[in-house]
Amino acid sequence: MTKEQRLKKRHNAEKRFRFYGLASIFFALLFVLILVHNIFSKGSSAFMKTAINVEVFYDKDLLELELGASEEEILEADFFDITIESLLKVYPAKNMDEEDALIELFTTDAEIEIKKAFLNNKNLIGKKINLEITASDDIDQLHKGNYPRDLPEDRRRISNFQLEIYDVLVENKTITKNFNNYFFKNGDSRDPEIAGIGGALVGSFYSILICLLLAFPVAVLASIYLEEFAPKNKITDFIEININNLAAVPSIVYGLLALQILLATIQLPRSTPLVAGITLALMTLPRIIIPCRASLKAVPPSIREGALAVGASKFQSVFHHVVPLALPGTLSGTIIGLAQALGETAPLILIGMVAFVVDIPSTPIDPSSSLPVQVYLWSESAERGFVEKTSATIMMLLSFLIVMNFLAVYLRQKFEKRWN
Amino acid sequence: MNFVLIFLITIFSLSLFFYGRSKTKSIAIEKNIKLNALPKFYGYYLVLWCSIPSLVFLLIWSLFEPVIIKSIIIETAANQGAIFNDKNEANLIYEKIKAIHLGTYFGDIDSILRESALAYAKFINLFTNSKVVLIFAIVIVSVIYSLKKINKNNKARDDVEIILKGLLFVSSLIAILTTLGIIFSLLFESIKFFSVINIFDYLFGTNWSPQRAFVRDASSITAAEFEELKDAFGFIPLIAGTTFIAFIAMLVAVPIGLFSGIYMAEYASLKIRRISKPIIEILAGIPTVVYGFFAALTVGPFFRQIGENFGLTVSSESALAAGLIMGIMIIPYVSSLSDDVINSVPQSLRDGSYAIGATKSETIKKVVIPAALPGIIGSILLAVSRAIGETMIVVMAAGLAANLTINPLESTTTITTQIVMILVGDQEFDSPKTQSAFALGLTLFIATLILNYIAQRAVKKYREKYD
Amino acid sequence: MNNVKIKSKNLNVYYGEKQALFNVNLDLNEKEVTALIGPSGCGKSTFIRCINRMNDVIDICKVSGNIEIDGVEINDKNLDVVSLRERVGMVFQKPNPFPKSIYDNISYGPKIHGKGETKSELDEIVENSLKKAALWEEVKDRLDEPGTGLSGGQQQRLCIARAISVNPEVILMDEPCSALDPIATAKIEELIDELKKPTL
Repeated sequence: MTKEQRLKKRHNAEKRFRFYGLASIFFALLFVLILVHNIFSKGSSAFMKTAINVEVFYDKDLLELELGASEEEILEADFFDITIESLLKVYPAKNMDEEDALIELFTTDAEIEIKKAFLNNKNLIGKKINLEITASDDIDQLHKGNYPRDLPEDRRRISNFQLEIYDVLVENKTITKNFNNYFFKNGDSRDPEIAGIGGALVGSFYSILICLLLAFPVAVLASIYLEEFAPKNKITDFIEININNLAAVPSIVYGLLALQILLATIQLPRSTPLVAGITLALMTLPRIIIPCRASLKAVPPSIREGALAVGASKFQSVFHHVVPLALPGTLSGTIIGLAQALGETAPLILIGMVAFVVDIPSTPIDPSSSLPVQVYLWSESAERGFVEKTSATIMMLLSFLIVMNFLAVYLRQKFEKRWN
Repeated sequence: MNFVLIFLITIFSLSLFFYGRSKTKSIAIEKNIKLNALPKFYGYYLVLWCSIPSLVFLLIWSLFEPVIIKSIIIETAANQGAIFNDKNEANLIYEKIKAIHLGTYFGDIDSILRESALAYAKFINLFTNSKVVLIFAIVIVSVIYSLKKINKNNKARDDVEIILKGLLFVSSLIAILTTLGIIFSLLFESIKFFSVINIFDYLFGTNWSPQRAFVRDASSITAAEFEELKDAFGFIPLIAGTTFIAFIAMLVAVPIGLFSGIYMAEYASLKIRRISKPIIEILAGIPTVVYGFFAALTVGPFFRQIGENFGLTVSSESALAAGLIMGIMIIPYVSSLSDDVINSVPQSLRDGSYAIGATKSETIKKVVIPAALPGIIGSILLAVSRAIGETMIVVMAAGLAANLTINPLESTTTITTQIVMILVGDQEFDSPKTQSAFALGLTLFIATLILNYIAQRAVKKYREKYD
Repeated sequence: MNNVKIKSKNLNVYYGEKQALFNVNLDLNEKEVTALIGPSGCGKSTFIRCINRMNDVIDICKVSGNIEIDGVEINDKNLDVVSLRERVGMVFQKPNPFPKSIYDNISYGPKIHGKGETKSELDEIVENSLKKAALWEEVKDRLDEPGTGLSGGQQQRLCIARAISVNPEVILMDEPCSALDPIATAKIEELIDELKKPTL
C-alpha cells in the first residue's frame, strides 16, 4: 500500500465515522418526528365528534309533564319514549330489526342529551326542536374516515342498511362534526363517543399538586442541609449515597412500597390521588434534590462570606442570600421532576388507579384515574374509537409536559445568574 | 377534627409570635437590658415550641389511632361472639362496623354488629377526647417552658437555629426512610413468600405460572398443594426475558447513543449541538406509556406485517418491538452521559494525538474513548438498569406468557410485566401469588442497586482521575 | 549556513476579535535548534502552533498569511494536515501521555501512519525512540505499565519519544520544561541538543 492510498483510506474512515455520528443523531430526530406525527394523525380527530341533526318533539303525553314542572319532576321523568320516537323519525325503518339498527347509529346517551336540552329550556314542552344528537362510536369513526367501508358486511360492525342511512344523512347534510366537549368534560366510559379525560385531568392535577406540596419543601430543606450544614461524616455520606440510589430505583418499586406501606399498613383509600401524590412525591424527591443541590452549589462562596462578614449567622447567610439566588435553579429542577411524575404510570397502576371510574373526583380522596393511566387503560380497549381517544390523551399529556419543560428552561435562563 | 386542631394550633402560634415579639421589646425598654437576639427571634422561638411538639404528637397519634382502634374493635366483636376464620373476614367485619357507625351500611344489622358499632362509637369518642386533651396539655406545657426561657433572656436566635437545623436534618432523613420503607416492604412479603416457596425453586425454576396459586392462603396450604406450587414460581424465564429485551434495547441504544454522544462532543458546531441535544433529550422526557402505546399499536403490527411478507410468523407482541422501542427510549441516557464523559477528557490528550498526525476519528477511537471508557461503561450500566426496571413498554408491547425463548419474533415476559400482572385488579394478600410480586420486586431492586452502585463507582473514579 | 526549512510571511493570527500575531516574518533553518523567547502571552505558542496547524483545533482561531515548509505553503485549505503533522511533531508544555502503556504510547504514531507493519518492526521503533529520548534504560523493563505512572520528567521524555517515533522533520516544543524540576530540565535540554544532530 502506498502512502497516498493509505492516507486516502484513513480519510475515508474519518468520513465514515463522522457519518455514523450524524446518522445516529438523525435517526433519533427522525424517530421523534415519526412518533409525534403518528400520535397527531391518530389523535387529532378525537377533538371533534360526529352528531346527527334530529327533530325532537317534547310530547306532553309521552313525558307526562305539565308546563312549569319542577326540576325534580323533570329529572324523574322518563324521556325514553320521546327519544325513540325522535330517533326513528330520522329514516323510515320497515321492521323491528331496522329500527334497532337505526337507533344503534346514536350514542347510548341520546336520552340524556334530550333531557339536558329540556332542562336548559323548560318551555319546550309540547314543542319541536332540532337537536344535534351525538352519533355512535362506529358512525363517528366512519364519518371521520377511520373506518374501512369496503370490508365485506359480515366483517363490519356497521351493516349495509346502516351505511345506506349514513349516506342519506350525509347527502341531507344532517350529519355534522362539532367540537368534542365530552372529551374534556366527561369521565371514563365504556362507550368511546362519550368517554372523556375529565376525570383523569382532575386526578392528575390533584396527584401532582400533592406531589408538589410534599416533595418541594422537603427536597429544598434536605438540599440546604446537605449542601450548607451537613458535617462531613459517615451519616452525611450515607444520606448522599441513598439519594443517588433512590433516584435510580425503578418506579415500579415505589408502587410496591406504596401498596405495602400506604395501602396495606396505613390503610389510605385505594385508587385515590392522595396515595398517588404521596407515591409520586417519594419517587420525585431524590430527583428534585439532585438539581437543587447543584444550584445551591453553584452559588459562589464569596456570597456566603460576604453575609457572614457583616455578622449574619450561618442561617441568615444561607436563607437571606444563598437560597434566593439558588431559587430559579431549584424551581426549574422541581418542575422537571414534576413533569416526570406527571408521566409516570407503573406505580399508579399498582395502587389501583386502573379502576374504572366514571365520576369526576371532587376531592383527592375520591377514586380517580390519571392521564397516563387513562392512556394505558384505553390502549387495552378493543373499540376503534379508543385509539383516537388514547392518542388525543397522549397529545394532551405531551403538551402539558412541553409547557412544563419550557417553563423550567425559561425560569433558568431568565432568572439564573451566571457565576464566573 | 384534625383540621380544626391544626387550625387552632396555627392561630395560637401566630398570636404567640406577636406576643413574644412585643413582650421582649417592652421588657428590653422597661428594664433597660440588651437583648441576646432580635425581638422577632423570641417570637419564632415561641412559635416553634408551640407548634412542633403538638403537631408531631398529632401526626403520630393519627398514624396509630386507626390501627389500635381496629384491633380493639375486632377483639370486642370476637368477645361478642363474632366468628371470623382469617384476617380478611375480620377486616370485612371491621369495615361493616365502621359503615354502621357512619350510617352508610344498608345490610342486615345483627346484635353483634350493633353492639360492636356502639363500642366503636365509644372508642372513637374516647380517642378523640383524649387526643384533644393531650394536645392542649402539650401546648400548654411547652408554651410555659418557652415563656420561662424567654424571660431569662436566652439566646433565642441560637435556639431557633438549632431547632431549624434539626428540621433540615429530618428532611434529609426522609431519603433514608424511603429506602428503609422500600427494603422493609419488599422483605416483609418476600420472607413470607420464601417460607412457602423454596428460594432455590424460585431462583432456578424454569416454569413461571403464578396463576396456579390464585386465591390460596399461605398459612393453610396442604402438602399436595405445595407440591403443585413448588414449580409454579421459577424465576429463570423471567430473568431470561428481561435480559433478552434489555439486550435488544442495548443493541439499539449503545451504538446510536454512543455515536450521537461522540458526534455532539467532538464534531458538532455549537449551533447544531444547541438544537440537537434538547431534541434527543425529548426522548427521555416522553412518558414510557406513550412508547408502550406506540410499540403496541404501531411498531408491533408493523413488524408482523413485514414478517408476513417474508413468510415469518411474528407475534404482535414481540420481544423485538418492545426491545427496539425501549432502546430508543434509552438513547439519551447513553448519549448525554457519554457526551459529558467525553467532554471531560482533557484537551491536551487530543492535542497530543493530533500532533503526531492522527485524524479526528483515530484520536477519538484510540485516545479519547479508551480514556473515557470507565465513564462510558458506567453510563451504559445505568442505561441497562433503566432497561430492566422499565415497566410500561414491556407491559404493553411484550407478552404475558413466560416463554423461555431466544427468538426475538416471539413474545416473552419480564419481571416488571409480571409484577404488574399479578398486582392489577383484585389482590389476595397472603396468597403466594401476591407475595411473589414482592419477591420479584426485591430481586429487581437488588439487581438495579448493584448495577447503579458499580456504574456510579466507575463514573466517580473516572471523574476523580481528570478533575 | 544551513538551508531555510520554515519560512513565515506576513503571518497574522486572530482569536475571535483579538489579534494575537501581527505580520510575523521569520525564517527558520534546518538542522538547528531555534528558540523563541519573550514574555508570557506574546504569541510564542500561537506561532509554533501555526507551524503544524494545531490552531485548527481551536474554533475561534483564524490564521492569515503564509508559512512554507520546504517551499510548500501549509496554510493551503487542500493541504492534508494529517501528513503535515506527521512531518512536524510537537511536544506540549504539560506532559500529556495517553492513558495507555508506555509501549502503546510510542507505537501509536507509527501504527496510525502504517510504519512498522510487523511486531518486530514496531518493537524496534519503540526501542529506538525511547533510546533517542534517553528514557530506554529507565523503562525498558516496564513497557507494559501505564505512561501516566511515570514521573513528570519521564512523562515529558515519553512525549518527546512519542513525537520522534514517526521520524518528523521538525519538532516543535512549547515550553517543554516549564512543569519540570531543574534536573529533569537539564536532561531534556541535553536531549534537544542531541536531536538536532542528523540521524542515520
